[in-house]
This record gives sequence, C-alpha cells and structure tokens, in this order.
Amino acid sequence: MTTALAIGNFRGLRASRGGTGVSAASEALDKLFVRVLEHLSIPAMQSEPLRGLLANLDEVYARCSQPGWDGYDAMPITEAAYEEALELITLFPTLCPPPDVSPDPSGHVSFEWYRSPRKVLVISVNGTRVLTFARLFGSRKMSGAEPYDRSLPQPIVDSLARLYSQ
Amino acid sequence: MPVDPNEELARFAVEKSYYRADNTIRPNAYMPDQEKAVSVFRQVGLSEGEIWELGATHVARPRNKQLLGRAVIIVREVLSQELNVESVEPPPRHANILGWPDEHEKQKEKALELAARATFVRR
Repeated sequence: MTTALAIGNFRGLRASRGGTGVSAASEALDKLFVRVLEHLSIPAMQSEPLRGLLANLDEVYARCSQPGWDGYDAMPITEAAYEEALELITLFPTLCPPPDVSPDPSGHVSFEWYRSPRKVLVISVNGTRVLTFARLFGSRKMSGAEPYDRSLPQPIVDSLARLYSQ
Repeated sequence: MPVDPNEELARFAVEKSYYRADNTIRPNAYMPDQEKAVSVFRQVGLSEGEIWELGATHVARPRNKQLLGRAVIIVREVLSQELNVESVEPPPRHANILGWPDEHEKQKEKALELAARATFVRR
C-alpha cells in the first residue's frame, strides 16, 4: 500500500463514522466504531512527533498571544484559535509527517507540510471553525476555505496524498 | 523616491517561524496584517551593516526583540503577483506591499509564491 493511498483510507475511516442505521445493532456498531477510533487516536497523540507538534503549538501560543509579536502589527493568536488548532491536530493523518506550526500576522495558526519551497501545503484556523488552505506545487497554486467538523476536508486529504505520493 | 521594479525589499525577521531550518522563507513572513499591508524596507544603496542597523532601529529594538535575519525580494517579483509596493515614510526607507485580496486563503496563495521567490539572509 502506498502512503498516498493510506492517507486517503484514514480519512475515509473517520468520515464514515455515524451510519444511517436506526436499529439497536446499528447503534451498538456505531458506538464500537467510535471506541475503535478513540483507541486508534490515543497512540497517535502520544507519539513522539505529535507530542513535539503539541509542544510547538504551545510555544507559538505563548510567544504570539500579544499584538505585534512579529515586530510589526501582527494580531495576537487568540485562545479560540489555539483551541481549534489543538482539535485540528487530532484529525491529521498519522501516516504523513507531522506539519510545522507557525503563527500568521492575521492571528491564524498555520500548519505547514513542506517538502520544498514549491512543494508545500499550508492550512490555517483562527477559531471560527473554517479551515483555510493554500498549496503550491511547482508553479500551480490552489487555495480554498472549508467548514469542517470530524474530518479533514477532502481537498486537504487530496493535497497531502499528492504531496507525499512521489 | 519612487520604487524601482529592480530594487530589493527587506522584510526583517524577529520571529523565528518566519524562516525554516534550511534557510528558506515561510509564507507567514509575507502575510499581510489587519491593515492588509506587509511592512518592508528598501535596502538599495545600503551596506550590509547599514541594512542590519535599519532593521535593528526600526523593527527589533522598538519591540525589544532580537533581529534574526531578513527575507529579501525584488520588487518586480512582488508586482508579478498583482501586488504593489508603495513608499510610506517615516520611518526612513519604509514601504508597504499592498493590493492584497480580502480572503485569507488567497492572501496565503500569494504569500507562498513570494516566499518561494525570496531569499533569506541570516544575521
């Protein structure tokens, strides 16, 4: 199985949570599925790379929660943006490398998957439950904004799969 | 003094997340602030020492921060992204990169391109 395929499968597993069945058996199955997902996410959050990512997020929040943190007129990283970034981390596929975390002058928290200056994907949150993303693959650019809940929006998953498929 | 397309603009970095370990620029270094401006300094005609002094005097010291380096980009690369550069003094040699779209994701798209075209000079 290639990494790209595995990233796509991980997202599919999460997105399929919560079926349409109404029977007791279906409900029990759904609960079991939730427990499986929780079980899967525990080792991921305790893994060394993700612990490092969480520590970096804490550091960014501590360093950039005041206006002007960049020496210019940057807006502070708010608690809402920090909390949303924390939640977002739990949705990241475990099969691709953890991103770097960085603050934006707009007050967004950004996560960057970087392979080279022209092979990069950045996603950002600011506490509004809308995820913005932009990618640069060679000379081709793409960007968007997506509301999200329990899984990463498909364009992000597709971009990650493409970023790590070669 | 009008801004020349061939002159270089310095974006002084006091924030370590503005550049990567491989000395490339992160796009957040070129993201606009709430006024939709990216603050830069025109380094044409200055020696290395004078450039660093410009950053220390007008960016790092007023915020009590350490000057870590600078991202350098040629004006024409900025113009190629349908952005513009306007001289805004004081402080001396200060300019703003303007013309940013309203949407954060569109700003980031342009910032990614600027970052890819810029070079980082570590202090």
